[in-house]
Amino acid sequence: MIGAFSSAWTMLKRPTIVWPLLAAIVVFSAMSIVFTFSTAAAPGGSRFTDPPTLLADLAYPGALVQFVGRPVMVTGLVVLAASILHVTGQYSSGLVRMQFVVQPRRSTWLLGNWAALATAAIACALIGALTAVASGYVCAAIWGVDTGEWVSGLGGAAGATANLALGMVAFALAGATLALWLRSSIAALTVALVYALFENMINAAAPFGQGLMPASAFSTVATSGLNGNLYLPSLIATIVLTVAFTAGAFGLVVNRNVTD
Amino acid sequence: MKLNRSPAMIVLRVLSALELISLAVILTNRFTVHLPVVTSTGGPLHGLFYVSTILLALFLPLPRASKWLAAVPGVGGVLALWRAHRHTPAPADEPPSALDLTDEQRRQAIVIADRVTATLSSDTRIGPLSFAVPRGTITGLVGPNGAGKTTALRLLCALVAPSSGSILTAGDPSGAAARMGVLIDSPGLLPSLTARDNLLVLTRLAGWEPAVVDQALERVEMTSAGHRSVGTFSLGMKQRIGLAAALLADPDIVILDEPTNGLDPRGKADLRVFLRELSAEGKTVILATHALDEVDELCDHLIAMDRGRVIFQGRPAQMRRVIPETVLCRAAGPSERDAAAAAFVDAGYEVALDRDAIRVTADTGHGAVLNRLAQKAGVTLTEITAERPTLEQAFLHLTSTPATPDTHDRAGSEEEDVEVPA
Repeated sequence: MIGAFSSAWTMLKRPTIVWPLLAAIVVFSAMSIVFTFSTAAAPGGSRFTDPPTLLADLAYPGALVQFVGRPVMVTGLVVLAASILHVTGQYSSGLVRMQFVVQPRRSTWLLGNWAALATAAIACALIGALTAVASGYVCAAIWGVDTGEWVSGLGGAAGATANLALGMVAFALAGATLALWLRSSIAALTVALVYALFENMINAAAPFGQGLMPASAFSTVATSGLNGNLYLPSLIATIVLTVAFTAGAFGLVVNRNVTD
Repeated sequence: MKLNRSPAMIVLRVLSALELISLAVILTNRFTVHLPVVTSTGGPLHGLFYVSTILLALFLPLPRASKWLAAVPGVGGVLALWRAHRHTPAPADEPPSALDLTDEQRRQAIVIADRVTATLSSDTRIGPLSFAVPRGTITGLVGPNGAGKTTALRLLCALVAPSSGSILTAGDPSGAAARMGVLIDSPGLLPSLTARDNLLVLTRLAGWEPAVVDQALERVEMTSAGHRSVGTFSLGMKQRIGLAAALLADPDIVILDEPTNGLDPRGKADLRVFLRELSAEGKTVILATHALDEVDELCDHLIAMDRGRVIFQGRPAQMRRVIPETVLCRAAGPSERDAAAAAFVDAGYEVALDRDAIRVTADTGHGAVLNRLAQKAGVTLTEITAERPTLEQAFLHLTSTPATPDTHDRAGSEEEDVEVPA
């Protein structure tokens, strides 16, 4: 199992995945905080929230929790895409054929990949959260926001980071399952995006399901429930869905032929 | 077909029906009673059924065209099911009898495939296949495109699960499973990783010592390039790294699929030398290829496939004997030619006339006998040439006949001539 993790980690840390992934997370995390401050600094506050957020509102202790959860959708999408590329890369290059010959227990291969993807997702969450908090301090200095009360919110920010990490792990494993299913990065990314629209349609038709279907459940957990959905049902849904995805992935890997 | 009875297919049928019914209800309402409740709920529901049908069809192992048809609004699910039903493969022919191996052959075999069939997700079916690969040989797997060679190799390394039948590999006489190294299609390498890291991915996954990576790189003379990204390698270098990957486990069986594809003549020659070295070390090499000259030069044993069936297995010399050997005799003129031909026919030979030449169906050792017969008839032959059929001619002869259970498993044995019906 450790060998399988180490093997998958060797693939994940290759430059074509690591640098774009890190750059995307850092840039989008920083941009989301800059956007929060710049819109709050506009006359009348941010028009993107109701009631409008003012600069003075960003001085409260819970601001850090808000910052950590701000870039969730973009970070989630980036982690999902990286997971898809990691899995489909093994299929498209043909590496998976040799992997399954040297390690006939395909469940070991899957567990190694799952552990590596989960570790990478947690690392991405930590980097995203740190970038967001650091950007918050920089922006506060630029826009003259008092950060004196933020220290008392650091515990909350740590909890929010843990939630962000959990959400990212769920996004990563969902992406990997999709990739295992379709074995094509383009098809998997397309289906993921179409599915997001599909879930929006369902949520519009049946609002009681919000926070329970994959995309909304994962983002609710990752934002610590700040997106308006109930946290606990979303946490349970996230755990159930992640277990279901993992079980589905096991079924796919163990039973499907490698023909391409 | 199992798929037709699977729960997922039943769900697809229900969704397709709901998609069609909801469309019918919406249209009927639109052109008749105009009930607002139908308009407000029917649209989203129909959208739900439509998207669900597309997604389910996408994930199910249906023919590709069926997946596209599922996207047709309203009737897509029904069309996809209709298309999938039309293209469900017919049941396989009755399997022919299993390969009848002698105890000696069974003891010598490192791989025994017994009545193996496989149905791929693209609805391609191969088999039943029965063959044995003798231990320590270079065995060629030959056949035209689409014969099923690559699928047969994938069956051997458990990348494809057999639908029926069994494959046994024995690494030693005690029956312990053989270790395998494979190079199927192109070398499966991640271009952005170094050669060494690519091999480490496999080594760590298998739980082997990292030292085997250096040994394998040294074996294929790529130690100095180990730290370079595979993306910068030429095809020949990638092929070498692919071979190194196949040799990591010090395998008993090395399976190679078209390993000389794209290699220059120098690379091909090097590879042949390398394969002979492997064979000399006692490893069994299974080599799928189109290049019959390569098979003739390298292989001790060969298995020919056509249309998903094994049509011959045995030594290359045995395969050549599928076509009778001939002796070409030439005489000084037409009258001498006819006199010699008459003498040969009188002696029981089968002859064919070709301008000034006589082609006699006989083993190549019959030249002297034919010469004596001609001399007795008062004819001096100006040329006697033994014509040995090439492997390519034999292969074309075998693949020109339809693959039926009768032609399956044309097997030759060590002790006797090839057992191929005329």
